[in-house]
Amino acid sequence: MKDMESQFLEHSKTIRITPHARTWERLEAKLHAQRGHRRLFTARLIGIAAAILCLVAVSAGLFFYTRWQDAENSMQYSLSLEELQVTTAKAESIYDVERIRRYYIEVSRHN
Amino acid sequence: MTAEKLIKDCKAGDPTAQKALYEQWGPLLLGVVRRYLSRTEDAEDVFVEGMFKILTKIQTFREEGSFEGWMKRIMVNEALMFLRKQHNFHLVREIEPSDLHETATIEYTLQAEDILKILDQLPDGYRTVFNLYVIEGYKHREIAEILGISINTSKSQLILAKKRMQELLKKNRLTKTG
Repeated sequence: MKDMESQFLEHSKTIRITPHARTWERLEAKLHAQRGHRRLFTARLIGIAAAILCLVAVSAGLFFYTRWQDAENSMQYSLSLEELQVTTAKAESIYDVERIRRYYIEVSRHN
Repeated sequence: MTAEKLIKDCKAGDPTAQKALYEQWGPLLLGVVRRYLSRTEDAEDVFVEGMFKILTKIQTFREEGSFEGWMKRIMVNEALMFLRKQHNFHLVREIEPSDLHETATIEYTLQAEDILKILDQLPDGYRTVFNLYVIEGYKHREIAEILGISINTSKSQLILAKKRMQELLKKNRLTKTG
């Protein structure tokens, strides 16, 4: 006569049931889908990283382009200022020549 | 192939090793699930989920304890999750444990196939508590926590399970109450 519990405990360790022939296929399909999912996730991650890199590169490009343009503009402005000064000086000297010319005309009339 | 090598290859995601693991331990693990679920289709579904979890979470297995024990725990948890989705363990009948005697002896030596036949005829609550207490070796306090029932409910379910089992065995002229 044996204790029921110990008999159950003893035999439960030996219970083996062969899974249905298609069970492995189901499991394999699940594993395959998960691998595909993981690959898709990795691809997405790479895509996101590439997009971020592109965004950073474009932002940096824009930033440096703007700065370069500013520098060029200020250089042009300083050049124009120089040109203006030269022009003014020229104008002044032209004005002087004109004054002298008028003076001689006036003097010659009186003479 | 040794278990260590199999585990290592499965951790590396080798499909051949995964199939070898399935073939080596599948029947035993399906047997574990089948003790909890009487419907073969349900058991197969839970088994697939459990195997999937084993193969995808194998990296978390620290090679300190028993690998078989680790896999069995996953299967038991999967089976319990399935049962929890279907049942409310709070609704099971509660009796005073002192009302019944626990000792149960049988003069007949049970065979492995008798175990499943008898377990299949038990209500889910009885079967779950019996499996957790007698076979998995959990304490009533732990079973109460796992199933979300009171300790008394766990005790009474176990006693009722044993009583029902004896009746079932008696029906087949196999038992004698001790």
